[in-house]
Amino acid sequence: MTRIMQTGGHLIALAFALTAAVTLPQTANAQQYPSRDIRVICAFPPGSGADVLVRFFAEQLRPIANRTIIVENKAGAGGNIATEYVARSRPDGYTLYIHAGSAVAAGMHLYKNPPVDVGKAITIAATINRQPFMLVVDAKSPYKTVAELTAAMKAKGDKASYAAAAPTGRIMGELYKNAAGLTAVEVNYRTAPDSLNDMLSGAVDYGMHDPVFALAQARENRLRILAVSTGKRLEANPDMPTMQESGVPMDLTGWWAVMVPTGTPQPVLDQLHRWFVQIVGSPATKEFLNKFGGDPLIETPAQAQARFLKDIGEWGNYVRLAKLPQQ
Amino acid sequence: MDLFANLATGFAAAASWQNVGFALTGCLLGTLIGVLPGIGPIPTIAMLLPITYGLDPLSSLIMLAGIYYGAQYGGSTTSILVNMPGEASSIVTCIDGHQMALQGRAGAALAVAALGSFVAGCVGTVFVAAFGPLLAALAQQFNSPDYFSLMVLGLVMAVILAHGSVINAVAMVLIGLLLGLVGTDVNSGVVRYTFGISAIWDGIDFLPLVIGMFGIVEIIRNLERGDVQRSAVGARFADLWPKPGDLREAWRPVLRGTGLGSILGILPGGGAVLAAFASYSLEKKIAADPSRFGRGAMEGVAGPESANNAAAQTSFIPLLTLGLPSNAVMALMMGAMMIQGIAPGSAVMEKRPDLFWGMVASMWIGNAMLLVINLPLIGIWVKLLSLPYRLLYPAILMFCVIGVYSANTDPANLVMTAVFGLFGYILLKFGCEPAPLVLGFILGPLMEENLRRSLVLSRGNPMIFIERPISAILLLMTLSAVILIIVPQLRRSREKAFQE
Repeated sequence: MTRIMQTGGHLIALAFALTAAVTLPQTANAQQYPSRDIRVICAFPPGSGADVLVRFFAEQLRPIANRTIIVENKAGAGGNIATEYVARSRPDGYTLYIHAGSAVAAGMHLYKNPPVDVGKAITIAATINRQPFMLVVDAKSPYKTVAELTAAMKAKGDKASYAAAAPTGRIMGELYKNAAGLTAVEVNYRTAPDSLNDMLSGAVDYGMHDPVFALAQARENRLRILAVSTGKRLEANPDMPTMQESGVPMDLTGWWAVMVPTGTPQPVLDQLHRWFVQIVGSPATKEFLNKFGGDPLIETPAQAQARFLKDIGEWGNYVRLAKLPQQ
Repeated sequence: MDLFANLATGFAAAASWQNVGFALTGCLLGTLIGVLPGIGPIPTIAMLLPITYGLDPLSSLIMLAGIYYGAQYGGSTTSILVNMPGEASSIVTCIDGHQMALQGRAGAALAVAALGSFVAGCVGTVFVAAFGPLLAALAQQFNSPDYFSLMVLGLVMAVILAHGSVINAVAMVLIGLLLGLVGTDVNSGVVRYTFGISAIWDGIDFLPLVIGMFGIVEIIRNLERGDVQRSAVGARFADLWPKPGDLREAWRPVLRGTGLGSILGILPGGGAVLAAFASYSLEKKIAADPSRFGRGAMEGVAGPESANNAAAQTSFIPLLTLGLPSNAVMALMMGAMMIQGIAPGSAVMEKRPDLFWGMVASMWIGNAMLLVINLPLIGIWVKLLSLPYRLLYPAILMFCVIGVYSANTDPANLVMTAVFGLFGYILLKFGCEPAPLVLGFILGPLMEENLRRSLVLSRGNPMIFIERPISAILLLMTLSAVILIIVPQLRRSREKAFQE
């Protein structure tokens, strides 16, 4: 009898141990996250300005998460390779995607067969910043405002040219032309710096460029920034007018975020959100982001997801308007 | 003199124990990654970038710069010893450098490469210090049509590179051009020749192409030959050092290469590569006996090695004076400066003279260190050659695979490396050389991009290439280069006819 009791006791203990073995890791996972190294996926090759941004945040995360943060570059196909990789990786919070949420949204429309439906496959854990594109002209040119440039370009008709180096720049150029009734010809460059010589020699009349390039050249008094593409002025450069104020309806806002595959447990999402609210809210981050021409952006997860879904819709219209070829 | 006062400021800043230590760390790391095939300065600097956040700005820039020009030194080592260019700019060094190694003159080749790089590095730094802003202004005069004409000139010179048949070389340049067109077209945004493979939407990567066509092909070729001949190479490593005659032969090419490199280095894009190719073509053209090239000519190592190192130094000029990164490494340096709160551009020189001149001074210190590091290493490298090849090649292959994979953590690149290895082997059997192909691959897309952009700007009028003086001069130089290539060909065929 005692023997049976003992055996039964063993069985119960075993059963208990088994249940514990099955249930414990899940609770432990959420409570002890992170229990191993975290990988941050960067959609740009090493050596690009955006790569520096990703590495800055990886470095900020390291002491807070108290884990090694590994940055992996998965460049190619306009970020699509990285997006697909993240969407298909395990939703456990150990693969983070730090990239422009606006670009991930745009990716849905720049490709004929997007590999994943990003609206469903990607969840925004936390937002990082919002940043503009900028309308720039040669600093030697007489144009001080968007209105002056518009008047001059109208007179120049189809002899006017402008530089663009990224999908956002091309769309900004197209929105401006449509709103102002211009017939300027778009000239494409691989990178914004490639266009500088042509801009300064007067071969092109104006350009739609990223803030890192535009601000650096404005500081050198080579280019003049006439307006930013965001709907509202930025804290980084409060004296720069928006295109909107200049009579060109436009709200093109690039925004960066920490993204994870959909299905990541809620406790992990909450932890990530808390971490990045702390990082993005710090004065060091604000200073860093302002230097890149953007403002820190802290939103609730619900707001961020809504912004993401709204961008997925809007970019469809933009891509059609700018007649960007689908790949 | 302002220059000397400035340099004194620079040396005062750069010669602190701490900064000398960082220069040494950078140079050592650079040499190491330069020697390892496939692992280049870009991923290294990217990985080290976070470490520099905590450092003083000058120290971090000194270390990162050290990695960059240290890699230029180290890159020549693998080119000469195992015919594997670590960097795009050391492809040319393979041509004659490896031939010298096969003739038992590896030591001389390595020493001349190191000495040439040192001279070029020092002179290049003087260029940066004395004419930085002036050179930057010159580079700013280059518009799209001028870039097109420069690339045409570069491609025509690529034909001179080959020591075999001109027809083969032209074919190689054209194949390289076609390979370069793969991927997204800058002007229209349409993807071309990708067959739906998303891994090549941004174009074929440089690393798989070069590692495949040079590294893998060289391994196959050596295995085919067997161990016998290689041990014969190793047995003659007695003459480690260049003879006085070698140095007499080398100093003029070194100076010419330095001049070319200093000027071409300031142009964005393929400055250092173009400089090395240009120097090689120049040496071959003015040599009394051009047929020695491709068979181990000292000038073919001395000139290009000096040119690429001088270009590495002067490629800092656009970043430091214009705030314009001229290549991926400079873009990373720009990122490093911005993280440190320094806005790259001419303001650096005015507001932080210690930083600008400190960096210039550190380049001298770094180049001297590299010479000290590299000369004693030559003995070790040459001894490595006497290792049985069956032990050496698995190690080389492993480093190639690590390098190719780690660049973008993409397995597709390994598949491409294998394909290019096979393709390169077939070309070898047909007597075609890979160097012109690689130049076509690098310059071709730049040429197409600027050609089409120029024509958009001129609304389809080709006169834009002749109306701009820089472009017109470059096209005239191209024309004379074509004549230089064709005339000896005609004469040779006539001579042949007479002999028969």
